[in-house]
Amino acid sequence: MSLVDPERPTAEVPVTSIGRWVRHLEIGLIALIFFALVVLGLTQIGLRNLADSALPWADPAMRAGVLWLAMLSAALAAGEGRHIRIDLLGRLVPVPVRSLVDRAMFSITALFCIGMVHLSMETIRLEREFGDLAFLAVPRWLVLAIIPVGFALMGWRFMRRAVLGAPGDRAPDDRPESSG
Amino acid sequence: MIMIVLLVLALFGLPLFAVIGLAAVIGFYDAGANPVLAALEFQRIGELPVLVALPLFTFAGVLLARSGTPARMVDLTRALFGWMPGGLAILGLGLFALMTAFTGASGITVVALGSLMLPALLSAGYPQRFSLGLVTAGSSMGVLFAPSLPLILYAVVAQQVAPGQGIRIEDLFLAGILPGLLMLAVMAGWAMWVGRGIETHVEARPPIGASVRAVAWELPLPFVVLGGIYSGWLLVVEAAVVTAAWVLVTVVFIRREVGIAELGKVIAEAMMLIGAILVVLGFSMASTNIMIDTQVPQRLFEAVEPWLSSPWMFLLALNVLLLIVGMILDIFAALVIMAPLIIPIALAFGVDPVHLGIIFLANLQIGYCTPPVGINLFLASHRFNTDILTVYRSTLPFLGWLLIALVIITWWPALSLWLPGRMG
Repeated sequence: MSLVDPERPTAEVPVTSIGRWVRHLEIGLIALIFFALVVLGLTQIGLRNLADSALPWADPAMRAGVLWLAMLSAALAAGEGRHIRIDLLGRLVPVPVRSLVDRAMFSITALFCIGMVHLSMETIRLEREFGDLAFLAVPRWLVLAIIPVGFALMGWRFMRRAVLGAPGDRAPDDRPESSG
Repeated sequence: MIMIVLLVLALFGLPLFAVIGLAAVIGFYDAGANPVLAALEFQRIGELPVLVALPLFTFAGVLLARSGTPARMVDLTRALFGWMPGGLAILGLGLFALMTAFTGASGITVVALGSLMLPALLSAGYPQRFSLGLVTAGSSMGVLFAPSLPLILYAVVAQQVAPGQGIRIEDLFLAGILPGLLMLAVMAGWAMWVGRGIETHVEARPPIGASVRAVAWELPLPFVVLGGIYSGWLLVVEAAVVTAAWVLVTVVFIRREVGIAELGKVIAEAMMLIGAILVVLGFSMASTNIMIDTQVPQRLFEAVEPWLSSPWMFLLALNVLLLIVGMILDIFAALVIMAPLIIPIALAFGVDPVHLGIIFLANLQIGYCTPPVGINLFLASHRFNTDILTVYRSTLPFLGWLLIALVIITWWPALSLWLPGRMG
């Protein structure tokens, strides 16, 4: 679990200009979806209590929003070393070995993410065949499309981390399972 | 064999979502099923209504922690109860509980509130070691109170594992109240005992009226949210919406303590916490599914049953196991890994799933500040620039009291189940 400590050193690897652009886009989208959740939620409460009605599409839209938030911010977390790790033994090995171990772990993670891109593309293909709607005129496959996108971004960021290393990633006084 | 490899990889720092995800994909493959099923299960993080509450509550918690609210709350506490023996310590415990209930035990409490509470305690004349212990152990209080994220997450996991049990989040919220108060009470009793001889007028206290006015915007929030949830007037997700909107408006627009530019950062910060939890939860739903299909919990039960002759023996073993797990694992990780395995076994032993949830979280909460590797201890040591051994020694008396409370919570199911039974 990452810790919300303003003094905590960030564990960012050098970012390319495209990388920075993507990151801004992600944060923008995350903020937009988040505000949409709040506004939709307030509307629902207002309608339920004042008019005894509700927008039938708002609840599925909010759930879709959570999925998008989860994937986008998990991708962001991959770039900033914020994924949950147990990492009890990794802390015990000497520093040079540790960096190698980390790189190996991030490579495996990147490969797993690429595998998930493949598997989730498969589910989206199935959804497109069914042609179900998630809410209003938004098809379900479009809502789910964020899953392969998120895993692709995570795979890319873990791969960068594996190749470039992340010097600030493991401060000695870090929490046991921070960063990743 | 493959599971041992995964365990070793986890111990060497493979991110937890990849560990559980690999286990799920390999599990489906081994069982002769299509691994695409793992991806299908993962999608369900976009289908569970209650998950909508998580980003909203977490945002509110992170934003509150960034604002001046913790400082105002400490001032109010000093103004109101600085004169009472142990008063500051006791109300401090209440503040910790409130903060953790809203921010979900992710280390935010010890960082945001602990660093304000420690100097306040010291300047009021409490001994250094006592104050440090109170702040460290106290920061894990509150996991049992609504709307804590671990409670919501336990309910989500339990509903997946035992869909027939009718486990409701509202029941867990009610069940946590008395055990949570018990934990607070034993710690408060100890604080009163230590604080009995302390000269209470060491430092001028802030005036009461001004302190109350200073928190006028924050004070109604817990009443609206907790009152709304417990009375059934607000659904959990609605309470989360109200909390997020309330904190957003008061901190950003009325008090202007966090600027619009910084708001993006706060949102990203909070969402990263949630994103990291939700991807783990998504894969845990997949791995739970395959575990149940291949009857892993049943085999586990058959393996442990000869050793544990009664439900009480089971609960004892469970306490020991969970304290250790809580020590080394983050509370969310511990929940998604252990709950799917333990819940079916506990049900087989006749333990109520709601009571089990309270036992689970009480243990994990105590594990948070249990030496040698409880996470709060490291946070406190790091945050307060104190060596870890001093932190251990300071926390031990509190830990002793908490363990007594744990024994009562575990062996007296009615303490947890009475309220949901009456009001549910």
